[in-house]
Amino acid sequence: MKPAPFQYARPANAQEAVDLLQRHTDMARLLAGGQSLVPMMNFRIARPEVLIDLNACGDMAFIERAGDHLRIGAMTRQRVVEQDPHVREMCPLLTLTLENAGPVPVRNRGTVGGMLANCYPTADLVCAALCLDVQLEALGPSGTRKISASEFFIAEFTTGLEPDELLFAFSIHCKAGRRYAYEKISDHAAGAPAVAVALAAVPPKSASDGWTDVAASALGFDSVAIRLPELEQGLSSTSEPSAAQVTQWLADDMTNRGFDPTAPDPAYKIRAATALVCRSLPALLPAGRWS
Amino acid sequence: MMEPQDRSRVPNGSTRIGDAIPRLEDDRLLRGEACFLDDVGGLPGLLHACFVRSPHPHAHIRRIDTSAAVALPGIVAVFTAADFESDVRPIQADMALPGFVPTTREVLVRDKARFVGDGIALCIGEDPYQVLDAAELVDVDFEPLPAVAWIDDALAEHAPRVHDNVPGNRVFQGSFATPDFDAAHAAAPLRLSEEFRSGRIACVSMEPRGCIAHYDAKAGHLHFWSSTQVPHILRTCLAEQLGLDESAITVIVPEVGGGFGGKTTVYPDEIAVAAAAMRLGRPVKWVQDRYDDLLTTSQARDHRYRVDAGFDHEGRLLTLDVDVAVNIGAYPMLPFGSSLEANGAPRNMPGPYRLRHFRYTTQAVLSNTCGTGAYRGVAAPLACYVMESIMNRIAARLNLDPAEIRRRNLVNDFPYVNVLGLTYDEGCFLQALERALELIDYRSFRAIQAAQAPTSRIRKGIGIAVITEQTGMGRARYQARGLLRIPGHEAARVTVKTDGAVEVFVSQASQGQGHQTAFAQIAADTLGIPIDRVTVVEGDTSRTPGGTGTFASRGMVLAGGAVEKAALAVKRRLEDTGRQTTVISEEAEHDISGIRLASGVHAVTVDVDLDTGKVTIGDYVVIHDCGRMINPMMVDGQIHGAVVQGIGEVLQEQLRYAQDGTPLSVSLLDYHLPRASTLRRLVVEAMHSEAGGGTIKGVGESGTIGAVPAVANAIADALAGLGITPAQLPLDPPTLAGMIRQAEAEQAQEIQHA
Repeated sequence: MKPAPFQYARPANAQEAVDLLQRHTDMARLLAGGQSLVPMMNFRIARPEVLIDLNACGDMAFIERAGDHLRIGAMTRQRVVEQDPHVREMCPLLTLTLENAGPVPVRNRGTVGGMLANCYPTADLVCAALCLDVQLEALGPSGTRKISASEFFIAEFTTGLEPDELLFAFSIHCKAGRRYAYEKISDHAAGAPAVAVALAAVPPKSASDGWTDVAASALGFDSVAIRLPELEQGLSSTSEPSAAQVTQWLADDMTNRGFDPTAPDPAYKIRAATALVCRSLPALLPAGRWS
Repeated sequence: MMEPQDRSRVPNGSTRIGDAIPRLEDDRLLRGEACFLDDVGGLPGLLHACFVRSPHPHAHIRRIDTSAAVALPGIVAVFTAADFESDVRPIQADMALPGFVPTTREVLVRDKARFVGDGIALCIGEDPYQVLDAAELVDVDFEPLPAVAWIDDALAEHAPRVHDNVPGNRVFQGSFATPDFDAAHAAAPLRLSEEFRSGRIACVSMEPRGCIAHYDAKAGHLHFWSSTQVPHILRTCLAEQLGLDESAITVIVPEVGGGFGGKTTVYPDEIAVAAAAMRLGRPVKWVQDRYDDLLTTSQARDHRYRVDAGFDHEGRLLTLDVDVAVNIGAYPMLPFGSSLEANGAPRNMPGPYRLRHFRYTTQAVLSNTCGTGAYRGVAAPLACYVMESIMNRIAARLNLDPAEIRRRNLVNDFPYVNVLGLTYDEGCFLQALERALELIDYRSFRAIQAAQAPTSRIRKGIGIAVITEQTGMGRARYQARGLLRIPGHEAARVTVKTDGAVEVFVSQASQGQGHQTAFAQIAADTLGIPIDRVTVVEGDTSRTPGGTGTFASRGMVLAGGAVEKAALAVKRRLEDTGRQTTVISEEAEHDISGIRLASGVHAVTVDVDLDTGKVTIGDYVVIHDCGRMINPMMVDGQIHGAVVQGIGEVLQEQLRYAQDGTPLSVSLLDYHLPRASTLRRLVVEAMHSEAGGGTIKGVGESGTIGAVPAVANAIADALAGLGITPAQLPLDPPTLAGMIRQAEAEQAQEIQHA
C-alpha cells in the first residue's frame, strides 16, 4: 500500500495547474481530495509520474448563485456543498446525494470535482449530476469549454476532459417546482451503492396528469451512471405508476443499453431500482395529494 | 509488552472478581498511545521487507530472475527458495493422528505456486517504499496450470491435484458412527435431508499481520516481535523451522489490534523474515497491508454439509447422518493442520440437543485458494447453523412452533454424556430459551407477524438458536485431536515485591480482550488487594512462563486459572512468613482434562425487503451462560462484537474466488464488513445453573456461534410464507432477492395454472 515513485507539484491556482498539465499531459494526474486517487496509487493501479496537487488552488473552491443557477467550484469539499443552505434550498438533490456519499471523514476531504472527474462506477454524485443535466466547465490551455453531463460521463474512469484540461466547476439550472429523490442500496448507509436512483420531477397537478420536467438516472445499470429515458417518458404520462410498469420501463432502459434484463444481475438491479422508484414517488407528491 | 499506565478511573479499595470495572488498557488504546508492531522502534539498521506474491492460482515456476530488483538502489537482498534451501526446513503442518496425507510447504515457493498470494521471493531494503518497487521487478517465468477453487470442483473426478501426492485433493478424512447406526436410522419414523453450504470468511483484524526479526549473532539469539495470538507456539515453530533451540528465541508481542483467529496461524512469512534477518545480520521488519492481508491471512469456513436426519412424530431428533467437506485452501497451516474445521464441524453438531444415533464422515479438501485456519467460533457457527436449520425444518414438517421443537429436544438432565462421549456437567439450556422468548416477546411478535398484510413487501421474521460452545480446551483435548503443536496448558507467575506491588506474568497475549484488567482482577481478588497494586505482564517469552495462546475461548478458563493458582500460592506464603522482607514469587500451570461447556440462546427479529433483498435487524436478545464472570462489562463487550461478526457472516461477508482461483475480494470495497449501524438494540443477559455459578467458562466466541444460526433462521422465518427455505450463507441482498424473485415467479405460474 505504498505508491510507485512520482514527482509532486502544488500549483497556486487553476491556471498554473493547467500550465503544468500541458507540460506533462499523459504522465500527470490531478490530486483533488485524494479519497479515490490516493488509494488507487497505493494499490499501484494509478501510477502517475507527476502528481499535480490542486489543494492550494483557492480559486477552484466556491459556491455561487445567480438567479436560478448554481455554480460550484470543483475543489469545493463534498461536506461543504452538502451543508450549504443555498444548495439545500435551490437543489436539494445534491444535498440528498452527498449526505450518504461515503462516510463523513471522506466527505470532509473529498471534493465534488474529484468525484465527478474521477467518474468512479459507484460515484453517487455522477448519478445526481447526470439527472440534473449539469454543465461542466473544462479549463484548458485555450480557455474554458462547457460540456454537457451526457457528453462528460463516458464510462468508468473516462470523461470528456482532454488530457490537458481540468474540471474547473459545474453549474446547475435549478428548475422551479421540481422535487427530488436519491435512493440507494448498499451494505451500509454511506456505502458504495449496488444500485442507486436519482429522480427530479415536477409533481402532477392532478391524478390524471403525468409528472413534468422529469429526469431520472441510475447507478449500477452500466459501468457509469446512466439516464433512464424510458422511465422518464413513463412517468411523464402517469401520476402513480404500478410496480409492473416501472419494472417494464427500467427493463426497456436496460435493453436499450444492450443488456439482457432477464439475466440474474440486471434482473436484480431492475427489481431493486423498481422498489426505490416506487417508494420514492409518494414522498414527491404534494402533501394531501389532489384531494 | 503491556504495562498499565493510567488507573485514574479505577476505584480505590479491593477489586473483586465480578466487578464491572472499566478496562485498564482502554485509556492508552483510545489515546493512540499504545505501541503496536509498526510502532516498535529502537532498532538501528532496521531493514524493510516485501514479498513477491504469485499472481497465478496454480503455476509451475520455470525461472526467477531477481537481478533487476537487486540492482535497485537501497535493495540489500532478494531471497528465493534456493537461498533458504540449507537453513530453513519445509513446513509440515501435520497431526499426530491417522487420516491425513502429509504435505510440505517451503517458506518461499520453489516448484509451483498453489494460490494467488503464495510467496515466491522476499525483497529486503533500506526503505519500505523501495522494497515494493523491487518486488515489481522480480521477474518470474510461470507456466500456468489448471486450477480448482470451489469445493465440488476440487472433489470432482480427475480434478487437478493441488499437491501431487494428495489423491482427490482429500488431505484429511475422518469418520464416526454409533453402533448399529444404519438400523436406527432406518427405523426413524420420519426423515429429511438437505445440503447446506457456506461462504468463505476473512478474519479482518483492524491491524493486519506483521513481524520484526533481529538476530544477535554474538549471543546466538533471535529476537522476534510479532502481532500474534500464540507467542509460545510461534517460538516453537520458529525453532523447528530454523533449526534453533527454543531457548535461543524470544518472541515479543506488542499491543495487538485484533486477531479473531487469523493470528493463531504461524505463517511462512514469519519464518522467511526471521531467516532473512539471520542471514543479513540486521533487523528486518515486515508489515502487511490490507491487500496482502485479504490475500494471505488464513481464511475460514467454506463448508458443505449433506445431512440426513431421522425424527419422530413428536419432533424428537433421533438420528443424524452427516457428510462434511471443508475447503481448506492450498496448504494445511501451522499449528492446527488440516483437520481443525473438518473435525470440529461434526463434533460440534450434537450441541445442546439430545441425540443418540450419529454418523459422520468428514474431509478437508485442498484447492487453489488461500489456506484456512481459525476464525471466531471455528466450525461451531456452521455446525450450529446446520442443526438449528434442521430443527426448524422438523418443526415446519410437523407444523410445530420452532420454540416448541427445541423444548422437546434440549438436554435438561445433567450431567449428560453426549453421543460423542463429551460430558456436560451442568447447563440451563431450557431456562435460557424461555428467558430469551420472554425478553423478545415471542408471542407478541408471532401475533404481529400473523397480522402482516399478505401484500406487504417487507416481511417480518424471528429466529432462535440454542448453542453450546466447547471452551477452555486443555492438553488432553488437543492431544485427543492429534494437534501436536498445541500444548494446551497455560501458566502464570505472581510476584510480590517488597513494596507490596504485584506483578502477574501470564503465558498468553491479548489482542484486545482486556487481559490486563481481567487477570489483574483475579490476582487482586485472590490476594485481597486494590487492583492498582497489580501489573499484568504478557507477550514476552523470556519473561513469562510457557503456555499455549489466546484463542478458542480459553483465556479465562486456563490462564485465569493459572493466575488464581499462583496468587493463592503467594497468599499462602505471605500468610506463613508474616511480615514480608523479600520478593515472593510463585508460578503455576493450569490445565483441565475436559471442557467447559458454555452455551447461549439467541433470539432475533428481522425485516426482509422482498424487492431489494435487504435484511434489517430489529430486536436482538442474547441469554448466555459463561458461568462465573470475571468482569461482566467485558463479557458484554465480547458478546457485542461476536454477535456483529456473526451477523456479518450471514448478511454480507464473503471472500469470493472465481472458479479459476482468482480472488475477487481483495479490498474492503469488495469484502463487506458489518458496521456499528448493523445492530440497533442488543439485550444481553447472563444466566447459569445453580451448579454452574462457580465455574468459569469461555465467552469469546459464543456470540458468533449463536448469531449465525439465529439470524439465518430469522430470515428463513420471514420468507417461509413464500415457500423459501434457504440452505446457504451468506444471504446477501442479491442472493435473497434472487430466491424471492424465483419463488414469486413460481407462485404466479401456479396461480395461472390453477
